[in-house]
Amino acid sequence: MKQTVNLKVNGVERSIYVEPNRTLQDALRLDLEMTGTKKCCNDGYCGACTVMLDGVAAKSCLVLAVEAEGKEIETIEGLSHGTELDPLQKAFIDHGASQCGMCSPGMIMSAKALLRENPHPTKDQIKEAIKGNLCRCTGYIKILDAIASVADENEEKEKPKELSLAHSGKKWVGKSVPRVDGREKVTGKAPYVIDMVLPGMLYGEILRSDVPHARIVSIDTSEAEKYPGVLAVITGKDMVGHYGNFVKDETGLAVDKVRYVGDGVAAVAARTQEIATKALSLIDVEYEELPFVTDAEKAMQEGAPQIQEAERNIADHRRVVAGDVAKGFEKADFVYEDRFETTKQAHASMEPHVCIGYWGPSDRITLYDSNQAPFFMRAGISSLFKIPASKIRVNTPYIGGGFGGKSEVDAIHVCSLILSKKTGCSVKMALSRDEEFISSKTRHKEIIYMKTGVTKNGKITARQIRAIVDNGAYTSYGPAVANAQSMLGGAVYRIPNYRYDGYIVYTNTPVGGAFRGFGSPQFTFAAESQADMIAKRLGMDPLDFRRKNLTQPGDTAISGPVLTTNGAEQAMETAAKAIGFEEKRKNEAPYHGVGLAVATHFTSGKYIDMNADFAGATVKVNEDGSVSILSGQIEMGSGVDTALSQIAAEEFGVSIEDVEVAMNDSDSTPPDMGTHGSRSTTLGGQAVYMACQKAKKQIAEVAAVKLDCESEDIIFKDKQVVCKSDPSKAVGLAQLVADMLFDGGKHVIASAHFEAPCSLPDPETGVGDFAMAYSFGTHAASVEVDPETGKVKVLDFVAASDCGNVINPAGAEAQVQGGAVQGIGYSLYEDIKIREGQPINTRFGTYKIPTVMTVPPIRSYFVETNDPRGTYGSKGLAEMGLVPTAPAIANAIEDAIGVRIQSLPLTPEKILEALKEKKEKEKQES
Amino acid sequence: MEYVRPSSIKEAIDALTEFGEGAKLIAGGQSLLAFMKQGMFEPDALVSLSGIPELKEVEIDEDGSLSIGAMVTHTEIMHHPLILEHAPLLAETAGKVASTQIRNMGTWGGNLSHGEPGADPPAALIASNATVKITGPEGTRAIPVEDFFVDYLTTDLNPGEILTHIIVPVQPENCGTAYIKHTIRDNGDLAIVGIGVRVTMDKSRTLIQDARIGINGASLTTIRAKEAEKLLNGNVWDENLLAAAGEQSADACEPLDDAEASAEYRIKMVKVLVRRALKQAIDAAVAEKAY
Ligand SMILES: Cc1cc2nc3c(=O)[nH]c(=O)nc-3n(C[C@H](O)[C@H](O)[C@H](O)COP(=O)(O)OP(=O)(O)OC[C@H]3O[C@@H](n4cnc5c(N)ncnc54)[C@H](O)[C@@H]3O)c2cc1C
Ligand code: FES
Ligand code: FES
Repeated sequence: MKQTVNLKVNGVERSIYVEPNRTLQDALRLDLEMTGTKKCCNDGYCGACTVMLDGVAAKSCLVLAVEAEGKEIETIEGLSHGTELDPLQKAFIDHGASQCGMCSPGMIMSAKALLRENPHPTKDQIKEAIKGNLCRCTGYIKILDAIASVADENEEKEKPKELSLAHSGKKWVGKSVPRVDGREKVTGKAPYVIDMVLPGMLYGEILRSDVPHARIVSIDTSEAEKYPGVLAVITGKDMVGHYGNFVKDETGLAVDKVRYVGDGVAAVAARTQEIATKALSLIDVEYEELPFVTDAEKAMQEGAPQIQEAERNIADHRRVVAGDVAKGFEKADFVYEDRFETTKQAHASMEPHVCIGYWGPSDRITLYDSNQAPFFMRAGISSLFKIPASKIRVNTPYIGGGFGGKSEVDAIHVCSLILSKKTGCSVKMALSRDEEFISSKTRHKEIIYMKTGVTKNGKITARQIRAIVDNGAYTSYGPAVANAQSMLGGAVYRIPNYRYDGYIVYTNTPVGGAFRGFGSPQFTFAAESQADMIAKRLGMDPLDFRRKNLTQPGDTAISGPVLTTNGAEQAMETAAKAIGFEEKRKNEAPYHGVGLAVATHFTSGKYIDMNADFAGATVKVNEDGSVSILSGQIEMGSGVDTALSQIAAEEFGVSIEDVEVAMNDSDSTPPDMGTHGSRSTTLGGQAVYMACQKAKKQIAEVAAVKLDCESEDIIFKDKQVVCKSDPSKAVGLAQLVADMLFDGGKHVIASAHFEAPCSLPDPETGVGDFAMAYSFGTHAASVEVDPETGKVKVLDFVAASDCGNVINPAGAEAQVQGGAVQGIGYSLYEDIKIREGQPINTRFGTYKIPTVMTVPPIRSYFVETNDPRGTYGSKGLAEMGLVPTAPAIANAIEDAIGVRIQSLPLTPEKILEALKEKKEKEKQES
Repeated sequence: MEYVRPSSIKEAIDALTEFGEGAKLIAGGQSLLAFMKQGMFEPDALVSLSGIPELKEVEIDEDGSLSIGAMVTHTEIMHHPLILEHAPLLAETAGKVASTQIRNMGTWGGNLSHGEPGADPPAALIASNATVKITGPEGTRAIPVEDFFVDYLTTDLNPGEILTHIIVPVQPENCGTAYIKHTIRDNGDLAIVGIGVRVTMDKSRTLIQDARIGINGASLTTIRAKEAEKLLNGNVWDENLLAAAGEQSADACEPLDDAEASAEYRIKMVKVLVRRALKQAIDAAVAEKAY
């Protein structure tokens, strides 16, 4: 029964009238419209909802509003006053402790509660205080630094080193500029779709299959339709067509049969989320169950259950054929073939997939969407619903983490628009945390057979790969993942003969999609584990083996990439030295080990069967000399808004405060393929740079007349437009632009399109210089293994990266730390486990992402190369952050206890099993 | 849904009885709400224990035993002077439960009543020879903690009953204790295996007078490894004996296979960690300050 509940929030008495089962979280978010308190899970593990109750931290999702009556409730909104921030909030900004920002309010509240009770905590006490707060972006290190800096004013953190751009006299570029979105995020005010409520908005929910493979015999929605508060119910019959980037095999809701546990079968729109959820339980689906297959190798066998219209369930086959591997193996003294297996990793962005779709009376669509590639979203919606792109507006505010998972049309988009068309209302659809794990995309699980021929001196003569890419039930980006890994796979080592065959195979499991690293982590796990295995078999030092084979600057890789700049070897040497590789290998405490791995990754590229790889930007110079940027890039945590602002500030000689990056709105932002593939600073930045040049030209032409000099002689400096050869001739930028507008009949606006210089792979051989640049990097880890429990502790971690010139050292370091920690999760814990077709770990309590307790010290080094193609010589970085992590740790474990684990994750159980086998083998031999 | 917040134990029992089957008690709500969100519990009435002052008290009873009210939180147990003095194992264990936020709200009464096999307090309480006091429509009774757990998420509580207090008897002289929590990630997770032990040594410091072993996470409920205790009692300890106790303890377990770990792994961990916990407890017992 509803009752009045009186809450004292941030010192203010508020009354709400709610059911007693209303959580404090929902009361704050929905009844009091205070959305700084976040909601990211359903089992109490994420901590994003942390508030203070009578001065101590509590998870507001696990407290009933009625039970909070009479208590002092403090939320993130109470910490700042207007624009005046709490010292903790300031510290979070100064230390770059907030990336996507979803975890920040909860994190700050946990820290605040700690500091209230204990103003000078130790590092361990800080860790304990935020152990219950998950962050998927930062890797926690900058968060710890931020809190420590408030706890102890003397705590001086070593600032990231200034790198070459800063030394070349640049004012903004190359500097560790604090993030421009920091204030919004640490105050809980940053807009995210998950927090949005529109007038008259309905809530949509999807009923999902609980069987892995079945024909849908019938769906009875009559009870659900009658339920009060339900406005529409749809099923597969309401779907409008097929979509998919490579194979159009998705429809939104299943039409004839379900293909995995989590496949959508029906959707409802209702007045509240509770009603929508209740209505789902009233829908009756009759299934005729079919045999199912969850193992990709089994799915390829003759007679396996047929999941889609594809022979032996093979959706696609991608290959690279370069040189002659048979001949190469003949030349080898030894040929080794090893099998590796990786896992289905979940993106686990803190903000779930969410959209609000509105289908207006004139067939005009508005979609608020947490999405990394709004331009593609618009194109996808346009072609699916046959609505002109001009009538579709995709609006994307900040997004609470994406990591690749939010880059395509999903069932929620299709359903919310169809439901909106039916009801005339906007319909919000968000995935619950369970749905995030079950029905959003994952990193492809792969089985990789890697065959490598070497001479006895350790020179590679040939390499052949057979990769079985577990597509899951639908196709998404599977073929592109194979493409990317096939070409990158030939670029780390000089391989004279190379062949890659990737089979993208359907299984009755969650769908593989785009995920940070895009095929590289899987391939690199195999290749770099094998590098150590081969070195050991040859009795060689693993560094020497690599030194002998690494590609060098100027090489054209066998698979096509032109490695204009290549810091692979330097990164390896740097990392090896920093972790103390050689000393540690020589004399190490028992059960301690050290390992490293080298990798490469692309800077965007043409791997999706489209001869385009572009970014776009529009730059406006306003009458007061400030600069507005419209970019197709999305701020999902990576810091792109800051990097773009740095570039514009540098180019116009203004302060970074004068630059503003507009929220992405497809009605006004230029075409841009979006934020993925490590492309935002490099490609997005290049588009902004080019637009700046055009706008500067417009201004320079007017200035030249005014200052009586050549327009080529004009420079932009300290908010002035100056004649370079005679600096006494100058005019304020604001003055000049205002004059142009009010007295000259001109406004300053320019748009630019950057098309990355790269090419599609050859259709026959699969060989291609498919990306405009290639980054390199090495991760090195030292670990301790408990031989009795199998538990691995990462003690120390070093990442050395070649991402060209670094635009923002602090931001780059943040990307590397966050990536490495995701990589540690991939190495040690993360795997969506499927038992008898059912995913069994679908919550943060059971699907374990790293917490602050699992994070080692991470030191990052930048090996700068000045790449001719990227903005200010930069190359992509974000994905590189996790590509070599897993094999580095696997190699360290091997060094520690002498067993080689060839499948991820590197669990205690596998380690104990391998130790047992090793002991038995040793016994037999003696 | 109905909600009441009675101010005495009696009123709470009456409310429970009145609402009947569909009612549930709410203590800290940390497990209850998590389960409700996931649709695993759908109570139609909640009876809150937060308005009953006596459930929040920690006291020494007349016979010297420690009485902990059901509503005392993990955080309070970590820091309460009486608990730190009389039952430090409980404070240590409370510190290994979940995370700060959960510890601030969650109670030991709720923790035990929830009956989660991977929870931490039960093994420590079994090692400490604790009992729980239960009051219901039929009156008050007390049972040893080891008999309280009946099945997965199922306890000995009858409809209308409330766990009101945890009673920890005076701990013997010359005893040492340990709680080892094993997880794949960190202590924020439920234990794959959690071992609570108390070892009482004789004056010689080599002979085990009495050992108590509680094991979380390795069966459908927390269990006491009685056979292993027998193996130890009255014997001079050495590594082999402790290892044998580990093996024996494993025999008492019937673990689940789940997303966290296989049954086989849990058995292995019981063997290893019982041995380690015993060693830690013995070391603590024979350390100078224990005498
Ligand atoms: C994210 C997370 C992590 C956790 N990790 C751990 C962990 O590592 N170790 C661990 O031990 N626990 C863990 N827990 C559980 C936590 O300790 C809970 O606080 C505790 O189990 C329940 O206590 P509560 O007071 O919140 O009880 P509630 O959630 O309020 O109640 C739990 C159940 O017990 C019943 N109940 C409550 N009090 C009584 C009573 N006095 N008499 C009879 N019945 C009663 C309720 O009706 C309900 O069924 C975790 C919980 C969460 C959400
Ligand atoms: S939303 Fe409360 S812990 Fe995740
Ligand atoms: S910044 Fe922590 S989750 Fe994104």
